[in-house]
Amino acid sequence: MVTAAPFGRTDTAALPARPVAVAAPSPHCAAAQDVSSPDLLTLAKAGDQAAFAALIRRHQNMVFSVALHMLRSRPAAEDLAQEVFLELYRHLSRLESDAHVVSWLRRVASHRCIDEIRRRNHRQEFATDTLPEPGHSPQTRDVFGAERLQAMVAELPEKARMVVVLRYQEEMEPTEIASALSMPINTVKSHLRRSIAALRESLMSRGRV
Amino acid sequence: MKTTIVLAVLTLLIPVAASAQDGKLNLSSLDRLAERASEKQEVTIDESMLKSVTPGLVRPGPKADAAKQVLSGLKGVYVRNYEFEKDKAYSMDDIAAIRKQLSSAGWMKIVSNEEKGKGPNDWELQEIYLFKQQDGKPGGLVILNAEPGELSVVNIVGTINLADLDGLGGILGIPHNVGNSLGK
Amino acid sequence: MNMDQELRDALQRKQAPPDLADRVLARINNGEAAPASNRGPGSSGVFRWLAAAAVLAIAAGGAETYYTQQQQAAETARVKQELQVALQITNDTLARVQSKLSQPAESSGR
Repeated sequence: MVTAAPFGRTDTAALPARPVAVAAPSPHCAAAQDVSSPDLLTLAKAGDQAAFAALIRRHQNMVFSVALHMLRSRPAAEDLAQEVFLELYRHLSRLESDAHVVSWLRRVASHRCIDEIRRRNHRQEFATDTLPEPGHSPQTRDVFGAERLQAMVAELPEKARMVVVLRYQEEMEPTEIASALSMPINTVKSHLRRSIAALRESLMSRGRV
Repeated sequence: MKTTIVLAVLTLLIPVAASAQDGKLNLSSLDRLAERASEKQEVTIDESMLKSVTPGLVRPGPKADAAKQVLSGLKGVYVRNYEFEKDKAYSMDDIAAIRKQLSSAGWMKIVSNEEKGKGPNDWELQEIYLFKQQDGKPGGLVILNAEPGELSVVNIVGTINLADLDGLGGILGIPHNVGNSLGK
Repeated sequence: MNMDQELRDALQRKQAPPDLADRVLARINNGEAAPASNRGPGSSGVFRWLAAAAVLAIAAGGAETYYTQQQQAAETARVKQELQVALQITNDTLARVQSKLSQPAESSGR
């Protein structure tokens, strides 16, 4: 009898929480920054544009980064982020809490990214020609290694790529990812397992051990 | 009754075996598994499709010639990848028809790993087969990975070996694969 | 290689453009944020693309040629995408096989 030990599986247990970089607040909305999240949402739903702007600033890095890591183009990521927040404005009345806003934004941003990639494939517009500008991740220890890994992640099929981005950028649990992408949890885990194995193999074959 | 069953089985086997003799598997027996899958990826690219799109598939570059050469030898790419929510969705018996084809003339098993544990869901199977034509040239390959939650069957038809997959993957934007090490 | 840490580093959140909120508000005030019930998902983007494509085709006087070329381009993209999927699955399956082969044999049962 041979024991089939788990293979090619990364420990996807809960990752330690890490501080999330939030954009500096606009000087025009100093008052809105003092408002708690539930009040911000309430004000925004009531039509307070300053509150809505503060809500955008609270979450813009998350949405923009998801788009950037998926599309590998700053202009495309900026466009997509704007579209997502426009849609947020249209759907504000249906959202009940800041947590609801976050999960809604992740879900909508993910689906829009996947749709955009499929549209680009249809038009043969492959995003690998437009790379993000360097110098936007001052905390990265190895800028060139990180950018190479970003490029490799961008080569994954769109759903697998989305799973990896949500897992490692947003540190979402597989169950949360499954909910955001309307995907069975086993499929999420399978995408993670396969993608990490492929990325690891690619890094090793290119000389990084 | 017994004779009828034997004749029925033989009738089923003949077209299956004939198809497997040119390096191409008959994957229709997997259709019923597809119905039970929670996620499925099925790729069917035959020779005519490959020929019509090959010029547009390869971007100019240092590996373009190698990729074009590999592509020109391909006659078909057939992939069935299924994921199952429930571990008991299928068993080894469900893939017996596929493995039966691979026991016919011309197919050589070059890699095999089969594991069985005590539980009914404690099993897995990985196999790689190469098909050799009568003139000794490669005619196809099959990669099979089966475990309770997932089944992958890859059948690439044509003059291709495992090492060729690396060059092809590189030009199509796939991270480098391990085909080289297994193909030597 | 700590793959988890490398991926976390590589996929850190990036700073969005500082004027993103202002741009969104400007578009809202221009009337772009119509009520949700009046817009289908992604519909305006699709219609804009279709309209632009139709204008180009008519202006060039080669609507049929344009359509054929678009069909061919779409087919090429579709086959490429399918080949990528096929090779990705092949890649992963081979990696799993290699991983299993490189594990030492165990004599005890489960």
